Amino acid sequence: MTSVTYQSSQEQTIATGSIHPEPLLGTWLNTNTATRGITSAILSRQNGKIAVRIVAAGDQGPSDWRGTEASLFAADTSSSEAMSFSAFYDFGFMETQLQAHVRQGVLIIAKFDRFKDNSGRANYFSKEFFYRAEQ
Amino acid sequence: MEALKFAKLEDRVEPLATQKESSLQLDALPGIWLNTDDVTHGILKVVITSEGPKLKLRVFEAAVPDSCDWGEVEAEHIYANNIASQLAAGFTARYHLDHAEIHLQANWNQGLLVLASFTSFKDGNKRSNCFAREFFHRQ
Repeated sequence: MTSVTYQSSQEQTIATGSIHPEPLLGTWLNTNTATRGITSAILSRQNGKIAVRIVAAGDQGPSDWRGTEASLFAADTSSSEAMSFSAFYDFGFMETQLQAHVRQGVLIIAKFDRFKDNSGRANYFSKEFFYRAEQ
Repeated sequence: MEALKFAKLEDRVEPLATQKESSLQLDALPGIWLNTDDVTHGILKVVITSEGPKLKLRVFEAAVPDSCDWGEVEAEHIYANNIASQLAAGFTARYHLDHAEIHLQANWNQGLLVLASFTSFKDGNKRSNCFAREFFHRQ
């Protein structure tokens, strides 16, 4: 791979501190109440880190995926406000990479699902849209 | 036949609906993809090639004084746009550059390649890790 020793034009600004998670913290609900995917995402602080807890549509009621650590990202290198996160779940038979960002108050979660059980199901991606639950 | 495991309802399909031992068709993804914003400060161009069931990509980023070639990497995983499809319409890839780790997640939609990048800096410059989403059309 080519070694990169200089910064791109996008990266030439200097940030002043770490990324604040507040814009992402809280409960986000799927805009589609009949979803067969993720019904809600809850972001919270846990032991100094940020965790996301996913609840999905299950066979007999909600399926709680429990919490996993989320990595936070800002809109640019000089911003200190989180507007995006990524997270990873490994269920054994499949794994899911989540990538999410906020746009105009809507949290957009893209799911990249990869099956490891030789079931013949295609690895696939999908997007869902979430609004912030009233607190 | 044993029921398939699923983590959410949308992953529950009839086994006959799936096609075992066939890899995704890659036709939609190879090519030269140019940013729809020709004055971008992010990624200028992505060159995607296929080698059998594998996808390789080469990213060129806007930089001063000239574009920056990140080099070629193989896509980590390739995805369809639904669970029963055999058409590749997305991929993930990682670049391990000297100054940053960059996770790319791409999907193809209506002729556009949508590329999300998650950049985590490792050079101690106090730049914030950042997210970007850019759109590319075929050359």
